Amino acid sequence: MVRHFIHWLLFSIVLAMFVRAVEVTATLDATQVNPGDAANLTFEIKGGQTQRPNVPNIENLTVQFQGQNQMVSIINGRTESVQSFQYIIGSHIPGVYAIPAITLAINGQNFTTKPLTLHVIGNGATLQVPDPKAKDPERFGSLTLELSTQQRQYAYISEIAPVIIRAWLPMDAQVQLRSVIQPESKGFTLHNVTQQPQQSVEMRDNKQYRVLTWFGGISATKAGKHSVSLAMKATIAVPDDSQPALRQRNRPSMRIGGNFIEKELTLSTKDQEIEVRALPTEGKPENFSGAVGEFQFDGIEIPQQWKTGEPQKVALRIKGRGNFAIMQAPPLTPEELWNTYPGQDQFNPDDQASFSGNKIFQYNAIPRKAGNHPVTFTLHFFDPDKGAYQSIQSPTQTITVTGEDMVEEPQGEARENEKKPDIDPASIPAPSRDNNSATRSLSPWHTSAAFISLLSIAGLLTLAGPIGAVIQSRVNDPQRRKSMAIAREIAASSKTTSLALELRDATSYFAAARRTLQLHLSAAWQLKPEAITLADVQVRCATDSPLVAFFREADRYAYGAPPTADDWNALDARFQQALLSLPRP
Amino acid sequence: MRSLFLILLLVCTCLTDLRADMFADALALEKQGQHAQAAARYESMISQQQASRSVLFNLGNCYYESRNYGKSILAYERALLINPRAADVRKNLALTRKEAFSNEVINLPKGPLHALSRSEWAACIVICALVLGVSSISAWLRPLWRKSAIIIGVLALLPLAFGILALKQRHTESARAVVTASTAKLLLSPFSSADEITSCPPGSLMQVIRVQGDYRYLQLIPSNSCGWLHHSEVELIEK
Repeated sequence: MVRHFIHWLLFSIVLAMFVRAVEVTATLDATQVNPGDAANLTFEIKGGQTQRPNVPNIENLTVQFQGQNQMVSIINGRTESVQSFQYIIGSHIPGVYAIPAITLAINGQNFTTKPLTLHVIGNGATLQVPDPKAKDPERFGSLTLELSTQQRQYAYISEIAPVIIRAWLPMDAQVQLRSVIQPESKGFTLHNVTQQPQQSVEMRDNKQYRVLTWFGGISATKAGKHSVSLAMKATIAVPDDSQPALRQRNRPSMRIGGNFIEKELTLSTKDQEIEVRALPTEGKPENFSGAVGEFQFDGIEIPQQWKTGEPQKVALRIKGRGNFAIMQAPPLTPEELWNTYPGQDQFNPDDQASFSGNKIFQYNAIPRKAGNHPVTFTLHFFDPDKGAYQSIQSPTQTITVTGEDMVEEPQGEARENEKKPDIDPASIPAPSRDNNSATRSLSPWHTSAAFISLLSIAGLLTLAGPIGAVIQSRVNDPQRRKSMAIAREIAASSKTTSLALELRDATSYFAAARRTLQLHLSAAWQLKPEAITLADVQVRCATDSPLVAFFREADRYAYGAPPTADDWNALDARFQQALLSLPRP
Repeated sequence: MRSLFLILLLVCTCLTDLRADMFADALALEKQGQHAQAAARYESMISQQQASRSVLFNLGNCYYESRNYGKSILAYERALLINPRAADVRKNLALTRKEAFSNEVINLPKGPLHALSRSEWAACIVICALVLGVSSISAWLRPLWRKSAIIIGVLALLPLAFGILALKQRHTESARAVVTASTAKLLLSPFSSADEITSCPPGSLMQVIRVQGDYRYLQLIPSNSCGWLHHSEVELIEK
């Protein structure tokens, strides 16, 4: 029994060496802070693991979880595990805040931390925390609409009034715009609103706002008194005033914690009532272009020489301010002289809202009567400032028309009233009777995957040809093949030389060594290896050249007594010298 | 394997017969003067991927007879996608445009680059590229054929270059559309109460520039006026 007790004691001691007891601590890095400053609360668990501690809600105290980490270390064979949970706590209201003891369950046992106290000491002034119940109507921002020019108290249908639209957004808000700006009221149309708003920072009512500014124009589509308002959808997140962020003590500019309130809403401008008047019918010219504003001719181009029945292009430019978009091309006058055809037009804005600028019209015209004719362009428009229709004419130009007068054709209403000829069935080919044509897709074939695949295959084949030919020519190059054959032979004979040297086989040695040198020399001198003899070597090399010396030795031993044991080393040295002295090819 | 082949052959034969039956029915309705029903039959054939030049041409005729000029012109334009050289389609298209008082295309595109449809040019490019590839391989593997292979390869380059040029020049045709509504008006802004710029007769040819919600921003050909139309009033020629 004593033995069992001793064994148990030893076991416990050993276990204790390797396993530490569980320790749980809770600490504050500061027990005293200023209002709005944050203190760090840390829970540390050694020798065990647990779930995140639940810090109870304490009135006026902000507690926010920052994160956890785990550290495992092995020191002198002992494993230590430390798990920690970090919180920031603080308050904007001075006072004494008690953080109670917190019980944690670890490895089936309960461990309790010590209670802590945080003192929030003000500097004699109480921090003004905004009353969360007070509603600020512009807390999430607002939208405003301003007319950018001095306007009368009324407008006309189709008249475009330039406007400035501004979105006032709180500086600390996070904003996502969800839609373009649109009129909320049905009687108005927005024109040419700038795609990208200008951004600026402005103060209003002692608050800083981020301001987005768009430029555009607004026009009414029906007469009467109307309220105009614009709207735009956005998702805006603003800081939650009831839980303001705390400051880090060592970095006061850095705010941590705090919540945001996010809302999807529609920013709307306040209703503005505008009286819209219809364009007067009295005095309305027959060829009224539809334009409302103030315009003038800026340039015209009419060829001087014409021929009846032959079209030429005429061009004119009109500049001014107003509703260019619905302006039609002014006709050439006198109108009975001309046949005109629809052409092209191009508007060049002078401002961001495209309210002022110039418009260029180009179209084809055919003169119908020969002779010298004064011609001009006439533009009828409505001037809203004067409240009356205006007609302007371009400077008169005299043109010369040659050729025969064209036959009168019924114009305008006469042509419309004319009975259309019955469709002559013979003029329309009969429908196809046999469906011989194959089925086809209405999508062009070059957008299909099959086209890309086949083209890729063709491309690969096209490249494979020349690449393969280049590779083949290199492989089959006779010079290269010859060099490679010689190199192989040299390697074989060098090997034989070495073997014969080891076996002290004089006949084989000299034959192989000579062959090796002959092969090297044949590459350099472009001779057949077998044709290279001592005589050739003596002619081409110096008399004291190691090559000459070795060839001489080879001949001596070929026709004389074999070398002795001492001679072999010297012979091999001579052979190596001969190899080193070989001429380069 | 043999039985699988026979089954496939049987299925293809059945489908061909079915297609021929549908066409015959539609043609019979057309001859009886029931153009609307005939048009519906042709439209169902097209929705089942059975569009052919004949089907589209007949559909165009049916819509013409029903005074639906917008859809008639759309059908003829689609028939020209398949075969731009079809003289009967071009003639009927010109007649329908005149009848609709639509914007005249000053000239239907002509020239060598428009002689083939874009699909035909694509096929030409692939064939020439394959010929070039095979010539290249032949020149490498068969030295005896090298000279001929090179000549054939060089000759294949010319139509290949033409095809690439044609596709490049005509890439904007993907965005061409036809007004199908009888009373379409080009608007200043993409909503229904916006100011009108001009009216577009049915069959007017347009170029789609961009899409925003339910509206399309288009340019009228050839007057170049730009504006917005609801997507239900205009249809792309290519699908």
